[in-house]
Amino acid sequence: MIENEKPTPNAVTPPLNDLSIIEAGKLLRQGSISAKDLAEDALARISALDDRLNSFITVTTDRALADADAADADFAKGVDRGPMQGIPYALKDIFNTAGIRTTCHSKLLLDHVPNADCVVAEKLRSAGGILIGKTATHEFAFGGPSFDLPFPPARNPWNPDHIPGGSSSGSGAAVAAGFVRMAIGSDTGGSIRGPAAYCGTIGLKPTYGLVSRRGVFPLSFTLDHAGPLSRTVEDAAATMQVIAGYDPQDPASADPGTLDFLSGLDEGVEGMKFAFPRHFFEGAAGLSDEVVAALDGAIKQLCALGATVDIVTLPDFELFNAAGRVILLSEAYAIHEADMKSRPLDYGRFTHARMAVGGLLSASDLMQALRVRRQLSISVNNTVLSTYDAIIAASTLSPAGRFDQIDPETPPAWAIQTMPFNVTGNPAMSIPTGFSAQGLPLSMQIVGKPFADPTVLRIGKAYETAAGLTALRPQITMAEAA
Amino acid sequence: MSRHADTETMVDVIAARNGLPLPEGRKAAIVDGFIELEAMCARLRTTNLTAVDEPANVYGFAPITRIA
Repeated sequence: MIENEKPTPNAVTPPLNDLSIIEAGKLLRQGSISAKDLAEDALARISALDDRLNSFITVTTDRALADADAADADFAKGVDRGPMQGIPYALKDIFNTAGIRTTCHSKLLLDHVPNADCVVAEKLRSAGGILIGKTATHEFAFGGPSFDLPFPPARNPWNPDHIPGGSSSGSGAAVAAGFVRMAIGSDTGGSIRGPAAYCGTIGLKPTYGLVSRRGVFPLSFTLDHAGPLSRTVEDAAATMQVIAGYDPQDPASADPGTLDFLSGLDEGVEGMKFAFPRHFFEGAAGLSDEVVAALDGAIKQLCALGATVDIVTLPDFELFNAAGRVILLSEAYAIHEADMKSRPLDYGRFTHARMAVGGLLSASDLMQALRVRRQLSISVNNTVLSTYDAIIAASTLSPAGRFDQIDPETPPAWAIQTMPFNVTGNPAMSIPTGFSAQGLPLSMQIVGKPFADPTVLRIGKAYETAAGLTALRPQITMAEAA
Repeated sequence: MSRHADTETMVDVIAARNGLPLPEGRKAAIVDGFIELEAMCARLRTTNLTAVDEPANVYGFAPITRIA
């Protein structure tokens, strides 16, 4: 069963699925468990439970077992490929996988089988990761959640009547449900951080250009980011250790040198200074008191850990949002223009309605948005982050909404506050801050300086440890599924 | 003519010029989305932009750092 009550620590979930990447890695290297154990456990849980959550479009059973055998063989030979070796993971179904269909959750690409892996998949494969499957998404990482697509929408493991957020909806649901410890998502306006917030996971949108998007179906060239959703901050760091890196074939790729995401994680936040642009959400429509209370509680916690937090003023949220939306819609329409003209009805209703608007924008609309974008980047980076170590912000304005709130005729708009840092490209992570009275996750964002992703993770780890929320799980168990 | 009807006509004209079909049953949501986007575009034009705010390399960090 899936409880609708407030979450409680889950005492009956099989221990294998509760192991973090780092914990599982230690046991794998000790020989206490095998990669095959982890793969079979993940596959069994998905088989038993995913018909309620629809988090996977494709489960790659044969590939997973082959990956697991290869990882175990490496362990036996003493070959160590790093933190992802022997660890099951999933990829959002816009990430190309050689020989495995990559549908973008769309009728248009239903039979699309790439002949090469995207860079992220290639890196995870080389690092000994176990690909469990491809996860549900909003169509083309954009329109949804929808019921007029070839696959059903993913649901929230904390309460399947509620949305899991999007567009990396299946990735968020799969991690929260314990099917995998980490799933890769993409984030163009909040598509990693939104599902992470609604599903109670970590979601890291790395600095723009830090993770290659080559082989990932684009939504918006200058706003797209790839990154991990995971149960713990440390697991996000372990993933970044594998997937970050310069790619000369990704035009947006940056080369900031080698970053170490793991070694400084436990250095705490004492002496750090954080900026809190409270005006981003104050007075906003749909703002939940529970979100604000949890955010204020998190700030108190950070102060108790030795940081200082100042309220600051940035340009207003709606300006960031306007610049981001205009750029996103212009770029998305440019990518889809031919299909939008020749086969519009093959798109789901929500995707089509939202994307078509991009075909109505003028060139000057886009140019004004780009000019404003530069101003906004300067405000965030030169005005605020030249003084502060990080920005603390809300991820969403409310807990996850219900599916039955969605008007089938009108694309839904969820109140999330993530777009500003797609516009500026700064690293931004969503991290749980508690639960609503209905038992739905609440969250905040930690936003860092460009390429200070390790600092963002370090701040998150300090808060996560102090808050003690990582032991909480949705009440989904193997025993109850039987 | 109402403002909504004016906007609908504008959407028809721009879509026709751009070769974008507006299938029956989907047009209302597109018009609503266009109204929302028009407000966003107007909001962008309320900022005080100067010659410095040029979009060259706008999504890279190097130019931002250089200004600092």
